[in-house]
Amino acid sequence: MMDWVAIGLSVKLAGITSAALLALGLPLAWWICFAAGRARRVVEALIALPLVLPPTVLGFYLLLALGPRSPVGQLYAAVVGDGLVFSFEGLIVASVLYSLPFSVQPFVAAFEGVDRALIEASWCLGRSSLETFWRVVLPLSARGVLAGVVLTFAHTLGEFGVVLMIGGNLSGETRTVSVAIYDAVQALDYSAAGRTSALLVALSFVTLLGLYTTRGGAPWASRS
Amino acid sequence: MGEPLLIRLTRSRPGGPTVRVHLESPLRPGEVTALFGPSGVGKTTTLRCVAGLERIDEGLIQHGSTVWDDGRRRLPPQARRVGLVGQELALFPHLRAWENVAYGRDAGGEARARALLEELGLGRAEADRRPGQLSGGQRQRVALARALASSPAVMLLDEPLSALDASGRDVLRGLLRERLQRLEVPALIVTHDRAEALALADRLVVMVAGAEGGELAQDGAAEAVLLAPRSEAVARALGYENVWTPRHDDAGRAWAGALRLRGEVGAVVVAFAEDLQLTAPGAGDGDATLTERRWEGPTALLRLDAGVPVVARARRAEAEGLSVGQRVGLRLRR
Repeated sequence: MMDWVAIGLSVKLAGITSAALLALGLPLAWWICFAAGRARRVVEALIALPLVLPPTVLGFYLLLALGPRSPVGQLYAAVVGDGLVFSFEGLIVASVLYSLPFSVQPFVAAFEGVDRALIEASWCLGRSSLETFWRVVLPLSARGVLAGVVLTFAHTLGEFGVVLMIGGNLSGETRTVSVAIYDAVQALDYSAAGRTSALLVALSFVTLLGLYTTRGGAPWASRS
Repeated sequence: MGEPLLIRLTRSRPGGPTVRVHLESPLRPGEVTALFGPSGVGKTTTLRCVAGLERIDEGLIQHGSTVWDDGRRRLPPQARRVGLVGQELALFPHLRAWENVAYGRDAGGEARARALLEELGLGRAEADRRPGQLSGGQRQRVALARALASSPAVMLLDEPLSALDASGRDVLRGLLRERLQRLEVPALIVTHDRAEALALADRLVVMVAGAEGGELAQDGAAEAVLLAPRSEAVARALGYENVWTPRHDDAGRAWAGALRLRGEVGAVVVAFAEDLQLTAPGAGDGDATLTERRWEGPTALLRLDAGVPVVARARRAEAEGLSVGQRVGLRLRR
């Protein structure tokens, strides 16, 4: 039988993570585009770390950083009254950090594709950096930004290692679809594992197909 | 009525050339100044510093009583109100022509943008198109309208007509001249096209390559600079093929090699190839030997030796009777 609760939880986690990274990643990517020298290199390397680190390593450090003995964990417990690890909120924090490169890197690439002369023209026409971002940069890099959001969503949907380390396996709270598949295999319920896996494959494929379908010539591109 | 713009700047890049442009007098409102010179001497850098897109290392850029940049503090481009028409035009590709014109903070609304485009020869249909759907000349007009729409305090134009063909250039040159004069603010045009500089500008600032980078070599009324370049570098930059340093004989007569120089003679004597006329030997201002003849359509470019190198241009029929090594007379029209 399909674990619809786990599927729903994964979609919810992927949606919230994508939205959070849209809010966090856009200004971060914008800063990276204009930052120079060592600061930019250090920040870019830090953001790219989840691409190369085993999820268990990242999960381990997050467990320490967000755990009940950590300052962050204690502060969270004091405010919310509950612990951050083994909770859905803890999963969101971990997913945001783990998926950071999947949103920020496409955002940076999209922003860097916008002709600098257009940005400067906007400044000379009296528009602030924020206005220039909203009215020039974002419309011209919308497809790249969308790509970052979709990649983040698809990546979060299939997350396993970090989720298991931070969230554990609490049904309805932290058991995501990938953990549910793992559980099913451990219980030798290959039928349930197969159905859920197939659904995940289909969901990921449709998401990526949507991304590649929306790519192509921009509506303002020259006819000639 | 606008306010004068003072430009005295030094801009260096690590490992790159240094640009030095210290104008003796400010650019006056209504005055069109051409920043003229070969590529790589820092004309565009100067323009970008004035626009606030690059900072200066030393000097002062001041508009009226407002300091725009003194090497320590820099007013951002948003606060300068410059009307910039860059080489690439930089029209926003996702906006329609009228939306581009109405984009500026002080540009007014759609009606004003459309009216401005209409004045520059773009009707309703063109105003509704995106830049990618317009011709080069139409795009140029949109860029000009966009710069004018915000009532700029200073107009800055970087090779504004370079992307157009010859006929398009001629039409827009007249339009540009008329609009800039009507605006009554200082206008600075970067160009390496002598005809463009002379057609548009009242004042000519010539930049040349110096020991450390680009530097100002001469600044004055456009015609005066053209007729009397101060140095060989300026004369070469202005496109003179013949640049001679005159010598004076005991009788006080001036000569360039075997050519007698008549009239007023400065430190440098210049002549375009078209200024030299062929005569029979002994009948002109001096004689020379033909060393090279190159056909260029209906004319021929002639290289001659008159004790100094001479470049002249002759009609094809006239040049066909000449052979390398032949002695000819030369008359200098000045």
